[in-house]
Amino acid sequence: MIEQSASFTQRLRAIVGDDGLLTDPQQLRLYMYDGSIERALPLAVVLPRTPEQVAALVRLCHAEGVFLTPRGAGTGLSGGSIPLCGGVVLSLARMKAILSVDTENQMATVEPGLVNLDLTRHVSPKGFQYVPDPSSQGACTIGGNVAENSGGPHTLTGGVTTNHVLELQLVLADGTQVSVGSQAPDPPGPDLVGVVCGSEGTIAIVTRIVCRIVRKAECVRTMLAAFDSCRAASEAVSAVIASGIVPTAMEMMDHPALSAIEAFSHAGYPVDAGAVLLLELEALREEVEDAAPRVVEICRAGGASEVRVARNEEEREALWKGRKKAFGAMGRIGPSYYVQDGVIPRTRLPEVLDRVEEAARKVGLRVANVFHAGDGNLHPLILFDDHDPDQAKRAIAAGEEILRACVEAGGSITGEHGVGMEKRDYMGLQFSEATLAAFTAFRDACDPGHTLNPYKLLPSGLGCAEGGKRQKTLTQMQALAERNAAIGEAY
Amino acid sequence: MLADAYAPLREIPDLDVIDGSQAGVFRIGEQRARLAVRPRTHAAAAAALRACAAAGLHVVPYGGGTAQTLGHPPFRIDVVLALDLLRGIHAYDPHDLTLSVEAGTTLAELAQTLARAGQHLPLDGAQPARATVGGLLATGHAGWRAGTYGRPRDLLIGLRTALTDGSQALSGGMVVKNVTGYDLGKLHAGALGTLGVILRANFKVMPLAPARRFVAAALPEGTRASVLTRIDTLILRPSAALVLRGWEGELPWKSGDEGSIAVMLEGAAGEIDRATRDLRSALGAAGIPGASIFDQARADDALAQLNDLWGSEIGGRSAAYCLRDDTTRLISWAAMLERIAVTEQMAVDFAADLLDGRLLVRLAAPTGHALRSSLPSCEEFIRKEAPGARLLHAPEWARREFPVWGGEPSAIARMREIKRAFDPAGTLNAGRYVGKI
Repeated sequence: MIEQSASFTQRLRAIVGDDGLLTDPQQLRLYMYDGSIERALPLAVVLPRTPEQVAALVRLCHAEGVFLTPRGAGTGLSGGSIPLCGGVVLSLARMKAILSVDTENQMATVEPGLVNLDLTRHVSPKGFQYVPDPSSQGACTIGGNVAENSGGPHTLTGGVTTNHVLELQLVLADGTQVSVGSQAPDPPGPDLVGVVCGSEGTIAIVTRIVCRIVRKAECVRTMLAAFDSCRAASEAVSAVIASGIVPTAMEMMDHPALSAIEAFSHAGYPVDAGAVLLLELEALREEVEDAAPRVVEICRAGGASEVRVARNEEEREALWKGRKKAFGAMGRIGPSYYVQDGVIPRTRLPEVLDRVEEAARKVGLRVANVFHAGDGNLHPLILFDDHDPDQAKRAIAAGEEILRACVEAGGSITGEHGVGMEKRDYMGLQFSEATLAAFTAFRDACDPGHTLNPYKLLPSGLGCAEGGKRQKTLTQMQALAERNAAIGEAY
Repeated sequence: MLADAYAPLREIPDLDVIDGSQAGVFRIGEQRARLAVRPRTHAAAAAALRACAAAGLHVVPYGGGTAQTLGHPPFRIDVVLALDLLRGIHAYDPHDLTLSVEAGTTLAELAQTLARAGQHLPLDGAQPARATVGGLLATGHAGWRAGTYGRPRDLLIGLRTALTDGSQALSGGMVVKNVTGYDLGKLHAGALGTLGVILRANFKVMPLAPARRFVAAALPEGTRASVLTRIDTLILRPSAALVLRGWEGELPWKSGDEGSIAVMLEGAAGEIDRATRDLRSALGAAGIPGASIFDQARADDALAQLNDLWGSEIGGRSAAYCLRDDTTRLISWAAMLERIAVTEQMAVDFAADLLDGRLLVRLAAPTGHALRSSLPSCEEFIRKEAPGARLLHAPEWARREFPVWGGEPSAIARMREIKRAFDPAGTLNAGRYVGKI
């Protein structure tokens, strides 16, 4: 590959120009990473500016049998944009325009490299918003959100990315450009929009997105409730739902998380609490005014030592500030963290949180929890030193135990971070051989050569065809920690 | 030869095999089944499908039989795979706001179960006492509240399907947020059973709104355009809003010169009161003098009557289309079709979804023979103006001759590859779907 690379890179350059191609190792190193702990160096990075350039790049890589890994902002948490097989990283960062906004029909047409928050900022003065709001929304891209089917704190009532995408322009694995979905409802044919969302760049590259924008709610009420324990807070979550109220967000932070967040963000959280719930109601004034006091009452009845209701936008933003920066705050209490993303039926929260605590204790590591309680989407952050292979091994063991607990509780191994490299070998925990075979059949139908984002989403041994052979690959963190150390030495 | 091909089906445990005249109750458009199988278990359904695929038999999956005129006529009907014995709630904990239900469960049965816990699954189908969950998913049918609550694919969180190799595949699960693996459930939702047979589906459900109000008003001459502009600015987004014309005897309110408007409001009691005042004010400003109001169960009934329009056929002499675009254009198309219909001596009934950009049009001729001579001019107009229009039901000759699904999508080649991956022998509903997949 390296020997061929000179002529190959010339052909890449012919498509994207000098300023659209990176081959200098110093520059390539910036594309080794995403938000996970995975690392791998690409052969080249291309930064196309148009769908036609993307199509030409895919055709070239398809013809040459070169692996191609699409990349948004690189904020993913499961290694989805790591070029594990080497090959070319295709960054959509330069395709970031808002092409049109149609408030009458409540939709916007954007390029995949647009930063999530930039869309909401753009339509906000007109009274609209884009609903999916991952915590990384200030950096992550809408194309990346489509690939991962991203959620966020406000998806409890609003849905995730797939519920907000109407039409996609795609470049398929052979370089063909197609449009799937429709601005008008119910386009004919299988729901390819639905299956591209969350496919982690393995079946197509998204070059244009028509997404829904919605009117901002007339009334928003945000409140914080402090409890002695996660169990009490979890029970309050169930009690709120049982009362027939579905808040737009119900976020939980446990005591270790609160300490780190408060030290980092100074959000004014009660650091002595065992757990804090952040709840948000959005609706017409009457509904919010009816529901808010009931939520306060339910929290108090459930043992809340304090319930604080934001009185204005400034206080609301302050309450959210800590939560949105929670992952970044973990540096205050540990050198690194391994975040899991399991989902469970929300009524199983208390018992599964106990198992999370137990899993970490068993391997002698600490864990902090910051998660979407309303969705049952856990984010246990296992704190460890990523340059210590033994700690990494123990973190893996705890992570696997947590995923098992989620599946045994009737849940799933990932709610929004994706399978990527990190969880592909856990797919068998959740799905039967027959289901994995169906996934593979689908992948093969869309990309027979597995050119696009190989070694992702499917279990190793199923996911990557190279030279006609299925390869088993090293995937998990112990191996990666060892590799990190080697990379650290190399650079 | 076919008799031999059927023999393996009779060996499958938990599979009722029905043939002769008894199988004729299963109707696919104007054709009757000669043999039907009714699995009592998921395993029996998968085994039956595998046996059919191995024997080269063509299979038509069958729910309540309320939408079997959708799509082109199948190339062949060897076996009807009826899901009616796979029914009931598999799992439901109201506190989790999730539900798992067998494919053959009727929408009415499902609604009753949920209502007892003060919840609902806001996916509306025509004829809910017969229509099944599996059928609703397979057809991807979106009722009049889809613009607000979403379509079947939006509320679906998990799916179990039987594939033609006899395996059962899952996707998703029983949690409301899940990105593990490909979301193949979405692929099956709306694929008309061409990729697999839906066995069980999991949904997210939601609390039933405490107050539900249905407001309907006749539109006098010159008011329709004015009311359309005002619906967009209502304080509370209705869960359904339509402009209708015709449907004589099928709706419980009066129609004016320009038809009628129907709006469903759902929310907290105080919210509905303010929304009603707001709506009355909008209607008044548009010159509409009065409105009929139906509350709670009566509102649900009125909405159900509206949803029944989707399946409203006039035996052998009507055809229904769904056109898609923005509201103004939909109304203009409806008016043009009314003019063409007068020339062709046909009756036109229409319902325009103001929230979701869809126009349901039913064209009826005095006889089936008359429809044959009149419908092509309407079809020509529709294909010229709205090439993506879908023919929802019509006599078999029309479904054979007309491009039922509209033009072929740009990704049709990829769709064919996916079909080949899941159903290599073309066992399932062959010929009915887009591009005669």
